[in-house]
Amino acid sequence: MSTENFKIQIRKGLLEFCVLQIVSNKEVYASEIIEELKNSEIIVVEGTVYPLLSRLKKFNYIQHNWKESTQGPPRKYYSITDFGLEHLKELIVSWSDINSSVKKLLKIKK
Amino acid sequence: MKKTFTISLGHSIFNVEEDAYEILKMYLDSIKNYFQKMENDSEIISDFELRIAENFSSKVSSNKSCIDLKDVKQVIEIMGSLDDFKEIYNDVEYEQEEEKKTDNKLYRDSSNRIIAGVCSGIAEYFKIDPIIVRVLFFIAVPLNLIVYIIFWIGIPSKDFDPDLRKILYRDKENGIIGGVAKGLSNYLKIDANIIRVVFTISLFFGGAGLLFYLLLWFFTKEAKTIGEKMNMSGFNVNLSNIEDFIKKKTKNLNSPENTITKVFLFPFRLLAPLINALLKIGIFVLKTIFFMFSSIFIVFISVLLLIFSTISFKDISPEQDPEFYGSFELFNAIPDYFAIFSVIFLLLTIIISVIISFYVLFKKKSNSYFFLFLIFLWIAFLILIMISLPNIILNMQDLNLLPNWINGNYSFIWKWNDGIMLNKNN
Repeated sequence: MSTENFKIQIRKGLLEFCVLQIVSNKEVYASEIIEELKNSEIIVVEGTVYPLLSRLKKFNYIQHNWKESTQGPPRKYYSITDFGLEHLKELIVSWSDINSSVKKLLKIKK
Repeated sequence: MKKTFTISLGHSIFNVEEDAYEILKMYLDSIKNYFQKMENDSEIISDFELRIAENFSSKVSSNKSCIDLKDVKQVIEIMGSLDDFKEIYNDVEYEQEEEKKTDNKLYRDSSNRIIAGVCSGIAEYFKIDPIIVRVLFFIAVPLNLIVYIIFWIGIPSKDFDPDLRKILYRDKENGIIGGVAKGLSNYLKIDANIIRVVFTISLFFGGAGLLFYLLLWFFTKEAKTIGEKMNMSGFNVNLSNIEDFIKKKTKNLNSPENTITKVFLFPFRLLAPLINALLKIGIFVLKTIFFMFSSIFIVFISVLLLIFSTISFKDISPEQDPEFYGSFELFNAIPDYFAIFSVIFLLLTIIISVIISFYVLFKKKSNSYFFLFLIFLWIAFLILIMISLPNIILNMQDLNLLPNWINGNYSFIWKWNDGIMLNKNN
């Protein structure tokens, strides 16, 4: 298992969590989500986000509506649903659980 | 100087240079192919297009009004290739692959079909080329027609992944007459001219090559989409292959033919427009003949329907028209239920033949489930009529109502195991 593979696996697992987190703060459109994910180096290519957004929507975690923009065609703005918010809370809990246990493990090694 | 295409992408209009357009189209096609297989969701693709459009608009300015190859390459880099998506979504892919392995059932192949995909489905099942099954089916046509229809009705259809196998297509773009030789050359990886020479030589030995050529022409599809074109030459559709493919294609265009090839191909190039024109005329003539026959048939059935429905529901007494007494009584002897069956049967015949002739003449497709339903109804009424017919004929014979030429020479006999039989009187 190479480092690269490890990174991919981690990113893959966390992508859904990160997207939900970004969407939960405010109504955002796809490019903003991509921008934030890119800044935090979660994703490398933009194309990976669209299938995920569509899947999240299928599970009714997020919703979208069209808004006119000052430049160019109307944009799709995504926001989180109540159901999605609940899901996100569960994800946060499990994330901090995993995080703390991994941290514990690392401390033991030191 | 380059040609440009005007495209509409994500509700915006862009001018794209030709080479850039080809790459962009292949990229979008490959993405479409991939995500349709995965999520069956057209929304992902429209999201992609919207985002690409955003990127393009930032690249266009007042002193650069069209999108070139560099822009497209940059955008593809930003958006990512199929391999990138596969990394993230490989779990979904695994599921699909497993399904493919365990799912070894017979389906009709809706992704590569000429009529209903029966032959192609069988070929997929046995992992052979569809053309073999098609030709076999064609050779034994009267029997296999029934088999074909049974398979059509009985087997569900399924979209097979066209990337996974090599299919024989006609390559009309690079071909000379119908693209059969070029298609074969792509398939067998032999130079097209060798195949052309073989075809030409075989013309002088009883014309077997001509027959073979025509058979292949009828039983193969023309490669039209980029995916099919790549498939034809044994490429898998993914991004790196797309670029290779384009490079190869442009290189091929530039390489000049040598003199021998030119001399050899000259008569064919000369003949090609003639043959194509003859074919078009032939198809037109066939369609016209079909139109005439089908309309005569439909009119005939309609007249039959009209006569039958007006006469058979009336009770006509002999006093009204003694001259036709015999024939009217014949109609009176037809029970009402049989008249109803016949009228519905004739109506269905008319509707079905109208639908079929529309399909053949104008390629207008009707709802296939509706059509199947009609066919089932038609068969059901045919069976009803067949069941009730013997009794009615026997009844008519008892009443001495059958026309004289039958009554004098023949008699009907009902046998429980053979049905109705016509016996010649001695």
